[in-house]
Amino acid sequence: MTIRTLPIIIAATTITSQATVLEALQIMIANKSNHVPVCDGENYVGVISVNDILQKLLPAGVDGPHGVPDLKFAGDATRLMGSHFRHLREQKAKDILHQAQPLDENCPLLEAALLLSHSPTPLPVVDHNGKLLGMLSRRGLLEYLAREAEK
Amino acid sequence: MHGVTPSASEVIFGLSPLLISVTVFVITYAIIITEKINRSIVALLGAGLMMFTGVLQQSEAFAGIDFNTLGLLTGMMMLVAITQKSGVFQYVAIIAAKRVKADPWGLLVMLSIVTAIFSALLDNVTTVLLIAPVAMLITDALRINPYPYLFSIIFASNIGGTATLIGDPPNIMIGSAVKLTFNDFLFNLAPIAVVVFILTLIPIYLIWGRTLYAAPEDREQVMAFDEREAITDVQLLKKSLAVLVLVIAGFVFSHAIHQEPGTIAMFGGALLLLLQALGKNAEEQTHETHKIFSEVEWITIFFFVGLFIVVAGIEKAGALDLLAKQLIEVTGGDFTITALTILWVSAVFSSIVDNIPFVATMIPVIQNMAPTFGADNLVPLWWALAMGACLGGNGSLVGASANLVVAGFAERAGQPIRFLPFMLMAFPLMLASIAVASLYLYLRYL
Repeated sequence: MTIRTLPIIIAATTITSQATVLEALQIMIANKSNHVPVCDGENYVGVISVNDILQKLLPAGVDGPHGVPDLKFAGDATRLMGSHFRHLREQKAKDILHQAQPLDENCPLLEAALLLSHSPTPLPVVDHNGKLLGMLSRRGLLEYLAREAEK
Repeated sequence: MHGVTPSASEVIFGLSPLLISVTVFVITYAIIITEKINRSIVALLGAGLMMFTGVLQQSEAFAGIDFNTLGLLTGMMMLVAITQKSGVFQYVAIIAAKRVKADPWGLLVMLSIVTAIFSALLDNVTTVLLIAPVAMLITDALRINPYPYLFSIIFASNIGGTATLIGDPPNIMIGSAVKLTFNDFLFNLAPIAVVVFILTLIPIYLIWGRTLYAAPEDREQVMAFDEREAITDVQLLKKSLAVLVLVIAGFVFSHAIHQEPGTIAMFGGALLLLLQALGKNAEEQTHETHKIFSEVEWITIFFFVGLFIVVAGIEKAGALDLLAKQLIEVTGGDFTITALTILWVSAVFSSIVDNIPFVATMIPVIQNMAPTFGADNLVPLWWALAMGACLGGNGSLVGASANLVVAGFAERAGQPIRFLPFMLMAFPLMLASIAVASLYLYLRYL
């Protein structure tokens, strides 16, 4: 049984790779969602998540294996984050998206469950042409399994 | 190397030991320079070939390894691995920034001073690993270009490293091979390091310093940083500072207590491990001790092991004696010209290639000059080698490991330091520092 045949793929609002980060964030806020898939035409390009945006707001030098281990000493530093946000919001979606490896529509359910368990966001499902069919989320998958278990 | 007991080499196929050892040496160094294969692997393979081809017996190879250098490096790496967890380095950097009211030029000078002092007492890579992220955080909060700061940190780390026995691996090797003490280095190299440091800040001021500006509100944000919050573990801080002070006192008085720096550093490392382990159960002790050992840079250590053996091979075959004679012939046996040649050649070499293999080769070369100049008169040549190798590291981005570490940080923060633009500014500055060093060498020793 492949994921295409199951009622678990959810259609999603998408943005183009030329959309701004602010537009992506507004869509996430409006949809009460933590991610938005990026498509050019019908083709899947990547995903932007709230975490992609949050990480970019952190100061330079804290990331990486030897970054500053702890930022309590820096206090609120709202100006710092604010100035990063003002710079970031005008950037294009293509500059900050992450390329979540999409699931093929013919992917078996168990494999999809495994990949999803390792992914920070829901995973995009594409057909053989790379067209985005929708998103597969943990909650969607568990809802389906819970319904099945009732039968 | 010292301590190699001469025995006739029985080289495979009856070939000349000189030919075989030099071939192995050249191939090893050539591959190290290409950086296509990790340098520690290449050095160890070269060392193995010196033995398999019959140039060296195992006992001779072992005698070529300078365990004092290895002990000093490993011990200091252990001490730093433990100390850095206390947050003391961030603490000092924040204090330094606040002391100058987060003024951009004052900040650059302070961070450079902090980097130079830490680099003189610890290894350069560790110092920049700890200072560069804080510098980037502060420049970010001030909304100013981090490039001049990172540039100055690179220069400060290499200049500071020149000042002491333990500041930079070339000094460790020279001190260990020639029995020069911590105080010898301090009295002979620290003065010139201070002069070069101050002179280096002048062009940096003229090029960048004058135009650095931060808005008052952004400076207030940095002034609101609370350095006390940077200290994550007060107990650990006390223990590690106490041991560090003891170890450095040990270096200063090493002559009086008749101990080598390698022993002192290793003992300090073990002592701090003990203090950290006290009161913990066996499992926690295993976990923490293992973690500290794993933070020792084994790539560097095994690189040294391999290089020492490779150099012992060509030394035994007589290649370095030949090279020394050639060098003396070129300089006409004139001591002044020889010293200045060593200084300039070391500087140019060290700015393009790793200074560790260069110095490992040059030490026996200079030792072989003893018959010409007299064994007791070689000391200025050692200072020439040390200054050239350490300051030369500033010449390009690949001149020293610390430079690459800073570049790595800059890259991740989206402010990459490019090879050519860096060199365009750094190479002339490095040459200027060597010119100053030449003058110092000439006036004081020649």
